[in-house]
Formats: sequence, structure tokens, C-alpha cells
Amino acid sequence: MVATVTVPGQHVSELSIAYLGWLLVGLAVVAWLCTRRSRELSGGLAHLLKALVPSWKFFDEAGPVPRLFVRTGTSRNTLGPWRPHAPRPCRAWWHLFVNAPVLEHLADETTVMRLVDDATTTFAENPHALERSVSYRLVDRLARIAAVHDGDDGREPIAVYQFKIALCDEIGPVEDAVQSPIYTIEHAHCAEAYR
Amino acid sequence: MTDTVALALTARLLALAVLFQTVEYWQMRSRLRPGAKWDWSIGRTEFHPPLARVLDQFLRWPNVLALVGLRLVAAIGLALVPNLFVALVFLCTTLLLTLRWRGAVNGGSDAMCLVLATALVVATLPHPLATDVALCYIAVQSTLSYWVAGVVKLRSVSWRRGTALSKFVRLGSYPPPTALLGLLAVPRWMRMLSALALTFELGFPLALLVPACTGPMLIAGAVFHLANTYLLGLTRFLWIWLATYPALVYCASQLAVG
Repeated sequence: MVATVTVPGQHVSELSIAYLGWLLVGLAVVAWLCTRRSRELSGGLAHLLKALVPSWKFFDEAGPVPRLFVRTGTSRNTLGPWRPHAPRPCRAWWHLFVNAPVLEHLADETTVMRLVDDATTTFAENPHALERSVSYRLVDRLARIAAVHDGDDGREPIAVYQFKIALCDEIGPVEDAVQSPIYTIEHAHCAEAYR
Repeated sequence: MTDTVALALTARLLALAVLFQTVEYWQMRSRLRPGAKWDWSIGRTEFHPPLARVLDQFLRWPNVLALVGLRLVAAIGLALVPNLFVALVFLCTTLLLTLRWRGAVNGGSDAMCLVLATALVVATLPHPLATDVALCYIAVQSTLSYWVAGVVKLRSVSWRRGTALSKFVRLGSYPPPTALLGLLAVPRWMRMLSALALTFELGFPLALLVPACTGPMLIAGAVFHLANTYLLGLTRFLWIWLATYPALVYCASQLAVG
């Protein structure tokens, strides 16, 4: 069976209905998979499916933004104040072409957002499992690296750190979304790799 | 503009965007090492062990750098000698990098890169319709990207009031420019600028449907992305969206002829 298909600039009658049918079925399956909630569609391949069917919903939610804060200390009893895990990058003219500082900043923000998302959806009813999730471990890694850098200024070596994700507005933190226990830093493992 | 010229321009602009992306990956390579913030040993646990072992070959340190390099070579190859094999290499390397960053390292820009990669695979298929279908796909996705973004903003009260724009600039990747701090504090100006951004995004389909509007809308689009690059640091969006414009010009001209 042959269908008549009109595309810009051409009038062609060569595409079979079967081909178009399979194409539509394929697109429908991908779209259906992408609309499933993350708890139903988990694992690394879920990210791939979401990337293949973009939503194009840019900057739609103007609510508080999740931000990662870290505090460090030489012992569990001497934790310092909460500090943003990384400063915001500064502008440079070459960022018109190549902008690794902002790319890294945005990638870290996405990692933090995913943890908040996981904490409120996939792990909402099982918060103890959250600590073993990939999102949590990636954010923990960000916090740990920030904590190690915090000890770069020559004071006593940092021994412990804790992180939290706070929802922030233009004024500052509004409420805490995730807070970690206090962790110790294994200095043997963090030497140059964290820098 | 013919379909061949539009496709060649698309491939060349994509290669330029991928060149800039590759320099960024190179500058950030230390973050990909074992023990660093984007250590593959964490992300790989999301996959079933047999698949993770396969992915290890491409995504572990330092192999991932070779993958990034191969992707650049494929992008340049597509710009010079487009063929199905090179297009598939570019698509596969892009997909693998997507897995490395759990879907995206830079949100929508990665999605648009995948749209272009998919379209270039289609364009190199041995079928008389292939180029037209690929260019149409790029043009429709590019148009949708603006229009959908406009619709979701229009639904938001804070965007209609102008407060969202001020918030995104203040909380963006960069500190807000000192010269704009005064402007950000004036609600009337923020409402006007929000209305301008919404009008542009919602009106973008005119670039595809009304040939007389194509040029002005694409110039407005370039200015829009330049502003986003300056204010929010969205550099990748600028170059990858520019790569979709030849397809828009071609499809708009063909719709006019039709």
C-alpha cells in the first residue's frame, strides 16, 4: 500500500504506510516511557530516554532554587558555619565561545536538583535508601571535595564535614530539603584526585 | 537556499559548536578522574552490571577523553564529508556522553545536540526524502523549543508579573551585572522585558510559517541567545541553536513555495 506524503518542496508518493506506522508506534512508545514517573522508569537508560525526547520547558518554575551548603570542622563538636559549596563564576569575554566554569556550575546544580527530586519522589517513603542512591553519592562527592578545599588555607586539617541542600530565594535559604549526617574525611583517599 | 546547502551549513555550525564543547570538556578533564566529582565509578552503578562493563570501555578514565575526541572528529567529518557511518559515530558518541552525565551535562543544549545528531543520521540515509525529513525535524524541534518554553512561562504568574525574570538573573550562574541591578529592582521594567521575551518565544513559529518573518525572528533569536549567554552563561545554547537556523530558513522558504 502506498501513501501520498507531502514535504516541503517535494510531492512524493514512495513512503509506505507500514513504515510510517512503525515510526509512529516507535515515537509513541518513547513518549510513553518518558512520561512515566521516575520511580517507574529508573536506571541509567531512563536519562537517555528523557534526553531523546526533550520537553523544552526552560525556566518555567520560579520557585526557590536548591543550593548545596557545606560545613567543616576539625571534630564533630567544632563544625563551622554553612557555606555555599562553590562560588559563582565570573564573566569573561571568551565565555561567548567556551564556558567551562559555568558549565561545571550548572552541572553541579543539576546534580543537586536531582537529589532533591529523588528525595521527594523515588525515596520519599524510604529515606534510608536515599543515602545509597547515585544522586546522593554524587552530591556527597561534591561536598567532600568542597570540604577538602576548605582545608587548603593552612589551618588545622579538616576532619569532618556535613552537607545540606537548602531551597533558596533571592534573599537566602528558605528551608532545608536534605541534610546529611556528619561524615569524616579519609585523607588517604582524597589527596590529588579531589583537586 | 537548497537542501544541500542548508544541510552543509547545519553540519558546519554543529561542528563549530562541538569544537567549543570539546575545549570545555578538555578544560574540565580533571573532574572526570577517579575520585573526582564526576567519577564514573559512581554513575556506572545505575546500570545493570553487564551493561556497565560494556560502558566502562568507553566512559571510564581516561577512555572518556578518547570518546570526546572521536566525537569531535566525527563532527568535523560530517561537516566535510557527510556520510551515514560518520553520522552514526557522532550520534553514538553523543549518546554515550549523555549516559556519562546521567542525561545531560547542560540540559536543553545536550537535547538539541541529540536532535541534530539524529537528524544528520536521517539526512545521510540513501532515500530521496532523507534530507528534507531531517531538515524538517530540526526546524520543527527548534520552533517547538521556543514555543513550548513560551507557553510554560505564560502559565506562570511570576513570569507574567516579571518577578521570575528578575529572580533567574539574580540567582543565575553569574552574579547579576552591576549595571543591571537598578533595572532588576524596577517591576515595570521587569514586566516589560518579560513580556518581550514571552512575545518572542510565543511568536517564534512565525519564523517557520511566515517567510517575511524568518529573517527578523532569527536575528531576534540570536540576540536572545547572546543575552542569555551574557546574563546566565548559557554559551552552549547559543551555538547549538544557531546550528538549527539553516534548517529553519530552508523549511520556511519551502513552505512559501508550497
